[in-house]
Amino acid sequence: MACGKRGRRTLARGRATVTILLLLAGAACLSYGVAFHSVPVLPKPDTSEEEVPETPPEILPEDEVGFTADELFGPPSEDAPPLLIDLSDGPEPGVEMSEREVLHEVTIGGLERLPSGRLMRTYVLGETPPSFCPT
Amino acid sequence: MANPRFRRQPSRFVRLRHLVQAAFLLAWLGPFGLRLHTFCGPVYHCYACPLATFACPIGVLANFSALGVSPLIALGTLLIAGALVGGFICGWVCPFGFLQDLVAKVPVPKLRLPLQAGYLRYAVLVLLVLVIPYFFGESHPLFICRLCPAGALEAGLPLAVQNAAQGQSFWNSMSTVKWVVLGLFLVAMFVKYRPWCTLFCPLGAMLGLFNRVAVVRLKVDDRMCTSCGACKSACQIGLAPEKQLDDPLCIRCMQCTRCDAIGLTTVFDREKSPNHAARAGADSSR
Repeated sequence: MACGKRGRRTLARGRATVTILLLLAGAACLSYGVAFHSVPVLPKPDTSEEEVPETPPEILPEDEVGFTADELFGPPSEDAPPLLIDLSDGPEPGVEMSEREVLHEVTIGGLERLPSGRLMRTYVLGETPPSFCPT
Repeated sequence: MANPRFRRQPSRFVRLRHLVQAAFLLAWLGPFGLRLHTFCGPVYHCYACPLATFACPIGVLANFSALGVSPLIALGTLLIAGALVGGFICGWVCPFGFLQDLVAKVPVPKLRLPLQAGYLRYAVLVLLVLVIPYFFGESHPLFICRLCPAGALEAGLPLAVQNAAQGQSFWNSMSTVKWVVLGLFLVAMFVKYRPWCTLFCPLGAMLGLFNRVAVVRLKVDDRMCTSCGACKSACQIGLAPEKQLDDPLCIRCMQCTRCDAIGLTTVFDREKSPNHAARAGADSSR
């Protein structure tokens, strides 16, 4: 009986410890999220004033040009740097947005994840956000 | 044989419950036009509702998962709320639960499903809230917000009414899937007690896990319990409180506290009779 009582007390103490740890973890998450956590967010490119050519520039097929890129420059060597550089992995200007701002943007469908994993606004600042009900 | 410890009348706690739910409703429905959408509430209330004060934690978890961002504010809120009161949130605070409680008062025979169906909530939590949003983004048709009846009822329906008032189409305000979900849910509320909470709610699934360790909890006094089963017949969820008091499905409706053997306690109480507070309340109400 005494052993049962002691066991129950140990259980109760363990339970109280877990509760306190959970409360502390919650407080830590909440404080860190509110005060420090931020993510970089790319602005939506403003295309409204860009001049878009009406017709794309003509690209002549290789047989009309008369030579190919390999004939002109030779075959690419293995040591050569890649011709195309993926700029999406490089540093791009983005705004550091606090988690509270991200949370607010989420509620208006204002953010999307790009294939590169970065976040981008879905609307230009100053314009009306998409909606209060993204779905 | 009737248990003399089991009261026919609900205890003071049970009578208080709907008042507390109504009071919290005022907090969730944007008093003074407050829209604090930079914080999560601990309840299931769609942030697209025109009156929502706080952001819905499930919507935030799913959207943050889709964005690949850690939802620390939502997690912190849920950890604190869960560790403090656990399932009491569902039974006493959640506006969506309150609505289902009110509809359940309509005297229609209620369907009882096996308690194991409650595990479906974890499938919803893992798949629809975390995994599918993370891998397929928020445009996937199984994204939780696209199927959520709370969103359909609290946000979609007002939007449809608003659109209709402005001369636009009522039915085109929501997707067909959401209309179907809303229709099924409205019917289910009448024939099953808290259908969303007991079968699908991912928030309840999380908060229910805290029932065992929450600061405020229930306890059975083994010395007083006669295993008469009266508490089981009182439980609207269908649990057997004497054995399943900390079950994740328990929403802490306190119907079982009609029996003096079951009562409120805190996780810091040791070896005390559990029902001091409940019994005191019951005695004063007799």
